[in-house]
Amino acid sequence: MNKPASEEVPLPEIKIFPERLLLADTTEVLLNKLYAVKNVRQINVQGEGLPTVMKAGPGTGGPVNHPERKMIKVKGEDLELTVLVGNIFVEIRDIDFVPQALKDIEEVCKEVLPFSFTLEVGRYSKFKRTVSDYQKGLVK
Amino acid sequence: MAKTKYKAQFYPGTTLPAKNRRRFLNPAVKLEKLRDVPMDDVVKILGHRTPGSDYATIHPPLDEGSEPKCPIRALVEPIEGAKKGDRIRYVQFTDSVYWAPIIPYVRAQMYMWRYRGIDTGTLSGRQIIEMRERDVEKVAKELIDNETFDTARTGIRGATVHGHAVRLDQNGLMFDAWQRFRWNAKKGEVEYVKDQVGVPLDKPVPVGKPMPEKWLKEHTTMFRADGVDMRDDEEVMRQNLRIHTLRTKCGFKPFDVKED
Amino acid sequence: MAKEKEKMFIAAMHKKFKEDPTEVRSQHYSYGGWRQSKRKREWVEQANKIAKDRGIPMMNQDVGVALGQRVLMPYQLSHTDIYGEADDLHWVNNAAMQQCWDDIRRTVIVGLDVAHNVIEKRLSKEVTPETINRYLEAVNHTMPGGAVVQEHMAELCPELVKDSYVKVFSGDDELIDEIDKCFVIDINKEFPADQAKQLKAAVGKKLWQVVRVPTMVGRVCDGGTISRHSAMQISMAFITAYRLAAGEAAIADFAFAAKHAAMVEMGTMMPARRARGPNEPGGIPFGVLADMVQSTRTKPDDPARASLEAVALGAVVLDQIYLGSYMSGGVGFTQYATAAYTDNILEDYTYWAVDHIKDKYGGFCKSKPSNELIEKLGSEINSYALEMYERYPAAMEAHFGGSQRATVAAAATGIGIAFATGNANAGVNGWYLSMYQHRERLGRLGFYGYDLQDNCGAANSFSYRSDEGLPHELRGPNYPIYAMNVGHLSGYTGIALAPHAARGDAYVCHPLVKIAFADKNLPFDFANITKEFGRGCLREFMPMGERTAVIPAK
Repeated sequence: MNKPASEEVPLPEIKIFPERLLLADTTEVLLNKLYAVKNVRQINVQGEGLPTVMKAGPGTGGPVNHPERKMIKVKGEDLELTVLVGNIFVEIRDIDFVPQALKDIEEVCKEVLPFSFTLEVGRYSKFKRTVSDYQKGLVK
Repeated sequence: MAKTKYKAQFYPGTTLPAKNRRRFLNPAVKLEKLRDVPMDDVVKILGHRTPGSDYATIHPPLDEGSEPKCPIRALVEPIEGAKKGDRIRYVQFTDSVYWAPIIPYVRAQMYMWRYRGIDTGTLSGRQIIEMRERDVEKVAKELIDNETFDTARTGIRGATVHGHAVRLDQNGLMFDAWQRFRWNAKKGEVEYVKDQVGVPLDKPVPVGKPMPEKWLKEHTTMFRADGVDMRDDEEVMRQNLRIHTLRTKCGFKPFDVKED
Repeated sequence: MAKEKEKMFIAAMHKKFKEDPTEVRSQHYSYGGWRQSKRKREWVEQANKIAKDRGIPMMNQDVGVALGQRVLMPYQLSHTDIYGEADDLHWVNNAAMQQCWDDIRRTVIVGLDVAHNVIEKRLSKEVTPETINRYLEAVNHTMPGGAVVQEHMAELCPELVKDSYVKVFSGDDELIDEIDKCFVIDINKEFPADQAKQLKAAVGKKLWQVVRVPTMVGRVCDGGTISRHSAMQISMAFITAYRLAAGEAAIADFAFAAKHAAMVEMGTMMPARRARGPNEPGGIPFGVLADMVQSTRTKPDDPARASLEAVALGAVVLDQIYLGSYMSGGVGFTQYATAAYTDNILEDYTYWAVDHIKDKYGGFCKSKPSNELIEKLGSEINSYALEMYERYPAAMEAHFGGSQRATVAAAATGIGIAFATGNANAGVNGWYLSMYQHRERLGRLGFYGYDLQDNCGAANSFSYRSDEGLPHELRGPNYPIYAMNVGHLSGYTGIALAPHAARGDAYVCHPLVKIAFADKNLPFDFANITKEFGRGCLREFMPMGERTAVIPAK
């Protein structure tokens, strides 16, 4: 029968769910402060996609030039923000570090976000390769 | 058979959303005009023709008499665009779940009550009305100007409509992947920079300030758990359940249906 | 609102801030394992090592970018801890989904009693357990493409057809005891005692074969080929096992029995307008598809789980493969279907309904299926579901399409009413009640087609007259107005299973199908449907009929 692959385990993530979708500038400030929090291993964001080109209608092929799709600097690196951020997943190195990380992240969010937000602990991102990763050539 | 004088009731219910739905549906109610967007700008946003240009036609004007004789057609007074032979064009709106003033099915019902010569289609993320071109322009202006339209939470979108179920952005605007409208922070108002299918406008069209949340909640047509729950409107529930009961029973034992 | 249970959601810390009570509930499975201290160190080290190696796009290690961005979150396969992307859940990309349908299509159930009668009465030969065993050995050689009797035959490569075999089952314990165990699906072993009793009573002393034609045959040919391949090889096996004269007149009886008289294929013939052969997904009644779901025997005390598994099976086979491909094609349908079996959203609503029915309605099957009951309970379940979307923006965004929300709310309502009444037609009527209230409440529903299908369906929900309706379990994807719009067939399948799971029935409408899929040798595990789809996402599922043995080696 089918044999499962060797067990892979998830690390905890703290999910930041703000009341509003974040503009690029806010995202930039927030991410940089979050990366400075102790024991943050990586951060992933989810949001509403900002296309560069229109793929439907009479304007097909035309540029979108969405004002929020812009270059931001995170951890000293330039990167293009391609989504209007709605969820931020902060991965913490160990479950033992989560209580303190929650406190620290709460402080950061209170400082940066001018509206309410919720924090939650769970696992939201993939931690095992799937078919689409192989398809995109992202698995070595 | 004696003629009955039927008086339309438009919509059941005693709660706020029900009353607001009645206002929209009842053609005798004059809806409040919240803004005055110039007609030329409306035409630009619709994107079907350049303001000032002639209307494209798909058949000769009706008064040329080239239509075959038909007593049924003769019964119906054509709308202006039909008389002139305009093509059918559309305007499509997206209403946010977060307290947009009107909602897709209420749009459809309102259009049916207030307008003639329409073809309307209702989905969850968009709601479309199609009419002869000159007529749809008039209707579009009316709707954009009046209280069915909130500049932040109602969108004019012909394609790539995603956003109705998504949180508002930091500026309080409904998400639009094509950013057809934007927040003018200096003036504190919304302006359209693209037409409904994403083609850039030559210059921005201001549509005014978004309505405050308090106003939106007072004018809402939505039943929501964090507003008025539909179960708290006994008459709306009863009428809706009546539809369910009648459709169910009439489908297999219509002889059993007894109503007062 | 009634008490909110966190059982579907992670039992971890969450906090609320400022005055906004927009509490967000996690939609993810509880990882109790994190708290097991003795393994914790290992896990953290292992995770760190894997993370360095894994090259998953969110890290974007190749381009050295510090931030992973995505538009769609990975989907958690409901009641599992497996995550997959939307792409992974398109059936074309998912080997488990493909094998699921392959295993259904290539299964044909063929009776042995007609054939045995021919042997005994027409040919005056004895049929005994020994001869039956000899026959089974022979047919397990012929079915995968081994030759018998004739010389100079071209045989099939075993590697390609190793998934092909024949087993038997019967309600006759004495007879089954004498058959070689390797050829038997043992009802007593696979099913809980009370279910085994029901099944054996339904099957009686008849002896049935469960034939699995090679996956490859169904792939290249079509559904209609299955019963023919099966009948051909069954006939050859009879000839060799009973030393008959190949080609004598009596052989026609075996062929006829195997092809028609004693043959049960999974999909019935569809209406001619569908222009398809038999044994395709469109011909599978909901109750028959529901009978393939095996959680009713592995988790007999959890009717909700079984119903939710049926929803998943219906979503993939009927919505994604049948409507999404056979009847349309392309890539548009996947997310209409996945909403019903991912992220534990329907799970939450369904288990809420179960608790509610136990609290307020006396438990499963205690309510008469009256209009009043449907309206009351249906309003309660539907209102709970919609309230979750209204109060929790995260849920509203997870199901960003009105069609997804409409389907999930209606499925929970229909399944709940089916649980309370033990009646599937009442359940499907509840689906429509949900749709009416949803439309009224929020002033929106689903895509354009919901305006028709979900507004007119109540009218046929109780009709049994032949051109108006059917018992719900016997309806299928081509039932009038069900073939129109994606996003419904999943819920309809769940509603077909729900009342029977609640009643403790061993099967919904086809005991033979129920038993046929209680088979450990099937490549797809019908007792763990969402988990199998998840393993397909993870590239852990090995399908059958792979052509590696006959194509150039890399």
